[in-house]
Amino acid sequence: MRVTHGMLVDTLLKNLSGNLARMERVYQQITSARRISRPSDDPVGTATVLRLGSAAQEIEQYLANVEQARTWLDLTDQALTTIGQSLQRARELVVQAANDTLSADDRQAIWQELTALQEQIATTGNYAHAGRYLFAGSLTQTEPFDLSTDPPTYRGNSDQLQRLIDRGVTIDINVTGDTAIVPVLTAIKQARDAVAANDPVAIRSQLAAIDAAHTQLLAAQASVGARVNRLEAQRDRLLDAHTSTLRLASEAGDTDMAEAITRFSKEELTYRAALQAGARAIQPTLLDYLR
Amino acid sequence: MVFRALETAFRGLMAQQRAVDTANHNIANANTPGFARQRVSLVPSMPYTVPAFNRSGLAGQVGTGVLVASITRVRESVFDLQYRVQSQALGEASTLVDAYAQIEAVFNEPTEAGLGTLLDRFWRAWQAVGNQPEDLAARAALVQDATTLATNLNRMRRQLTELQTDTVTKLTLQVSEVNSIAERLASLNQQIVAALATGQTPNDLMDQRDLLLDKLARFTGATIRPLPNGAVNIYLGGYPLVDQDQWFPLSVQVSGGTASVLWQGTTSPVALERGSLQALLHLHNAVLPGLVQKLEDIRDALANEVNTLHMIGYGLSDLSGPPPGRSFFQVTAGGELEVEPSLVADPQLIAAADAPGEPGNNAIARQIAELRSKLVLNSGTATINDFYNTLVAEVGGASQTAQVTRDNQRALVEAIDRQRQEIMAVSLDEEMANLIKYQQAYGAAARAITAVDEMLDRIINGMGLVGR
Repeated sequence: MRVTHGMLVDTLLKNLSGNLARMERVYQQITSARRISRPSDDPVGTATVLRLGSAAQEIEQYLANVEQARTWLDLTDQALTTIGQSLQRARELVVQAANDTLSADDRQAIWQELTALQEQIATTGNYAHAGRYLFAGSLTQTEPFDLSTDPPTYRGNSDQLQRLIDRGVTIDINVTGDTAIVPVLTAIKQARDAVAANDPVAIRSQLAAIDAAHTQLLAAQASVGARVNRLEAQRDRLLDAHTSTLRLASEAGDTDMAEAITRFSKEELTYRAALQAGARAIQPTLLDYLR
Repeated sequence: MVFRALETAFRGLMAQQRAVDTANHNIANANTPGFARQRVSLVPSMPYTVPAFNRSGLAGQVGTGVLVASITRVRESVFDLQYRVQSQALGEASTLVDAYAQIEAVFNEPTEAGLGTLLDRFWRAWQAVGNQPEDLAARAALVQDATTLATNLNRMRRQLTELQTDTVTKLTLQVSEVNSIAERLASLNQQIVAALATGQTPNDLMDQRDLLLDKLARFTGATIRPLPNGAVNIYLGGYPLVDQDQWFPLSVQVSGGTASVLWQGTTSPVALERGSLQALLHLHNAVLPGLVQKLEDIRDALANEVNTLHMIGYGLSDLSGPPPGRSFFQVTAGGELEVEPSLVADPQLIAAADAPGEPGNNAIARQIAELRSKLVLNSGTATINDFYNTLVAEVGGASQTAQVTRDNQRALVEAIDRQRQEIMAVSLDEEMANLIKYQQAYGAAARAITAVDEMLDRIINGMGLVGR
């Protein structure tokens, strides 16, 4: 084999530039912490990274939806509890008013407290979260109970508010006023009318209506509780999925630092050696020894 | 007889001098691209048969010295041929690698700024509107995200179209380079044929021609045919690009979005077969329009699917039916995607509800958000995100293939070139050694003349003077 100085220099340059190119690539992987910087580095890996990144985004959004739905349901539950307590107090008053020994004045006092309770329940029914009424169905910008009438009339609708909590999975987050609160208000109004009429028999007959309203209220609360449970289960599932998606994305797209740094050291060593050997190989010619 | 010795020594002097000249020439051109080292081939000159009536006791023929038979290039044309064939594929692959690097930069994946992330943000924004359909801030954010998505989709489409235009520029430049090479080759053919006809060996002209042929190989899949008179003809698809001292220029034509390389003054396309010109045509006529088409598929799917749902929905300020039939996206005459300007001006008009006057109704927003997982592309087999991810993987795959081909082809070309260089490259050590060899022979020849001179001096001035 006939080797000339020009060939030696060419080989040196070619190898040095190849070496630098490999070093640059590992360097980029280390400094960016990403294994893939262009799709051609690993086309299949790129698609995987994109798909997993997108899946993580999707899950994060469902998690945000779950949190928001949870807030809405918690507030609904609190409001229903408040209404339940008021209803409980109203029932006690009605039982008290049904007592034959009470005078008309006593019943007048009870009537007034019942009126206050009715108003309080309607006001609770008008609770809003971030400018949106909880019990108005989808008419969230309309105050659901009109306090100027007696009993307060319901101005919302019976639509369910739905939130996406997974691909193709929705959950109803609201309780409409007409199912849970209107019966309560109607029962109290009727009891008040009986109390105002000062008629113990009629008053006693209202207890059944109050109990029926209470049962409906409890059913609504139970359904809220069930939905909160469902949301918690969903959140746990989403968090698990999020963690595993991120782990897979990291495996597909992140630099294995230990490996990358080892490779960098190796390339560096080769580069130094090539420079040193090259400097010595291309220097001497026969000219140096001819005198 | 003595005079003949003078002549012999003189021939030696001249031959060694020519050899020294050649070594000098080699050293001077040690770094000249395409230069093949030259060798003086020395042959003994015709011997002199000593005339005699009868067979004498003397040796039969007497040497008369040395002659320079020729100065030849040390070069193996088989390797030149291989080098050029492989260069054609290398030129093609290198062009593709460069182009794909630019295409990959347009896609800018995988990053947080790529279209994939922007699509995700767009779908998320719809869910945020679904969570708070009454909230103007969520709606304004949706308009922002949709605008960013549209702007980037437009940017990518525009940049790919610009790359297509750049390809024509490159094509034009390279075609004019090919024309210039063809012109120089024709002129070199003429000079070489003329020199050969007078019995000369035009080594340096032939080196120049070989260098031009090496260069030409990167551009096209031309076939080279040497002629007995020393000229080379170059054919593209059977038609001559260079025919002895004639050459036929190429030209670039773009019509109806298709670029082609034609024989100048005709409408016949040139059969390029390989090389960078072929790669540029492939990029311009197939690769880039294909990518633009796929981006347009994404654009149309987005606009159609979102609009279909948005048209049947109601905005916050629509208090009664029937649906106002507003679209969300519009595609301009120039093919740009943009958010309907009325929605940008008033995000309340975004139709999140499927019934009028229900601010808490998010049915449409939910359905649009769920378009994310609807199979709307590739004849109903891929979601928009899938389609885009596949597109990126395809670009990456094509780029990787081009890189692998380029690397392999380059290794091959380099290996062949190395074999060529082993034969033709100038070795300084070798030339130095030769220089010394020839210099010493030159000195010895000069000394021989001195010896003959002294012999003559002895005969002319010293003979017959006995006893003086």
